[in-house]
Amino acid sequence: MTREEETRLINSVINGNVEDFELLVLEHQKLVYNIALKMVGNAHDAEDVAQDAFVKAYNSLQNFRGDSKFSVWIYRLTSNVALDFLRTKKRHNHISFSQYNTEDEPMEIEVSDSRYAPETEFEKKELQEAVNRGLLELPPDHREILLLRELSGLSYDEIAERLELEYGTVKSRIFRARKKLCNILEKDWNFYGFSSSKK
Amino acid sequence: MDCEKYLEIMSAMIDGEVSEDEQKELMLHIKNCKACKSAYDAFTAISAELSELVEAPENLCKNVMSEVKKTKKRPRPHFIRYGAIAACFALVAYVGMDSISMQSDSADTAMATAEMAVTQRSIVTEESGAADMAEPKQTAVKVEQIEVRQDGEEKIIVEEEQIIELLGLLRIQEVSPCENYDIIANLSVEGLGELDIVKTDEDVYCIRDNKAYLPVGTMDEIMTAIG
Repeated sequence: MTREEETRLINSVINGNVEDFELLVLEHQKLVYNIALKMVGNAHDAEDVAQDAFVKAYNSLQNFRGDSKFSVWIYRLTSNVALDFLRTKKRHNHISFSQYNTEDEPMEIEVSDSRYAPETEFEKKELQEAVNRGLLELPPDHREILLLRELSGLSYDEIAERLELEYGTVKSRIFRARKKLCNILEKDWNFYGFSSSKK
Repeated sequence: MDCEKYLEIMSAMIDGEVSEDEQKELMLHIKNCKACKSAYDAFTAISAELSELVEAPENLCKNVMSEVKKTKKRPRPHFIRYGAIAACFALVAYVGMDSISMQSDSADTAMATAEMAVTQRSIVTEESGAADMAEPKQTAVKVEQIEVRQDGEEKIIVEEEQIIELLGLLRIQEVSPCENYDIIANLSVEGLGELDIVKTDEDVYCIRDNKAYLPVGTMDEIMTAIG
C-alpha cells in the first residue's frame, strides 16, 4: 500500500467510512500481532493486545497527523498497549510459551558458515524459545526498541523520531539490548561462548 | 579500538546503519578475534530469530472490526458544533472539588483513595445535534492512580493530594471547539478513562472522545500538578 493510499484510507475512516479501517487492519495486522506476541509472550494475550491496539488506533485516528508513517505510529501504539498490559497484569516473570510455536512453518535461518546454524528441529525450537524467553527478561524499553527494529524494520532515524530519542541513543540502546539478550542466553544455555567477548 | 566498540558497530551493521569503511574494519577484526566472531554469530542468529514472523490469528481483523463498529464514530475535534453546551460524563464533565472527600481503605493501605462525586449528564449525540440535558446524577468514582504519558515518558501519580489537585484543575467549564492542537500529555485515570491535554495557540484544552473541553486550570497549573 502506498503512503498516498494509506492517507486516503485514513481520511476516509475519519470521515465516517468505518469499513475502510479493515484495509488498514489487514495491511498491518501481521506486524502488530508479532510485536504484541513478542512483547507479552503468549498467543492468547497477544491477540487481546493487538485487538486493543487497533481499537485504540481507530478511536484516536484523528490524532495521527501524517508527518510520520502510519506503520510507525501504530507499532509504537501497539508496544505502548503491550507495556500497559504487562504493567497491569504483572506477568513479566511467569509467562508461558506453550502456545508460542511455529511448528507448521519450520524456521529457516539463512546464515553464513560463520553463523550458528541449528542442525535439528529440536535445536531450532530450543533456540526460538530461548530467544523469546530471554526477550522477556529484558527491560521493557530495551525490548520495545529491539522489536521496533527487528520486526518492523524501522531505521534508526525513524525509531529516533517516534521515540523522541537521539540517533546515538537508539544505536546504543539497541546494542545494549542485543548484548543483554546474549548474556541472558549464555547464562541459560552457556551456548554462544559470548562471555569471552565481554569487557 | 577495543572489542566493546566493535560489538557496537556489529550491532549497527546488522541493522544496515554503518558505513562501508566501518564494515570492512569490523570484518577484518572478526577474522582475527575469536570472541567477537562468537558474538557476531550470536547477534545474527538472534536477529534472524527475532525477525521471524508468525501469521496473525484468523479472526483478529474480524474481531477488530466488530469492536470498532460498536463504537459510535465521533467527529474530529474541529467539527464540534455543540456550542457552549456542557454535556459529557465523568472526568471531563465535572469533578466537584467541594464533593471530594478523602478516605483510606484500610490502615495498612499506603495508597489512599480519593472518592469523588462526579456529576454525570447525558451525552449529546451527533445525530440529535441538540442538548438533551438530563438531571445530573451522582456517580462515585474511586481514583487511586493517574497514568501520565508525556514526551515519550510514562509515570503514575498515586499521591492523593496530587490526584485531587490535578482532577480539580481538569474540571470542565464549557465545551469549546478546538483545532490545530499539540498533545501535551495523555492521562489515564483509573475508573474514569483517558483524556488528552492539548495546547492550541490560544489555550489549553482537554480532549476526550473527540470532544474538546476547557479545563478550570491553566496550562502552568496543570503541568505543575502533574509534576
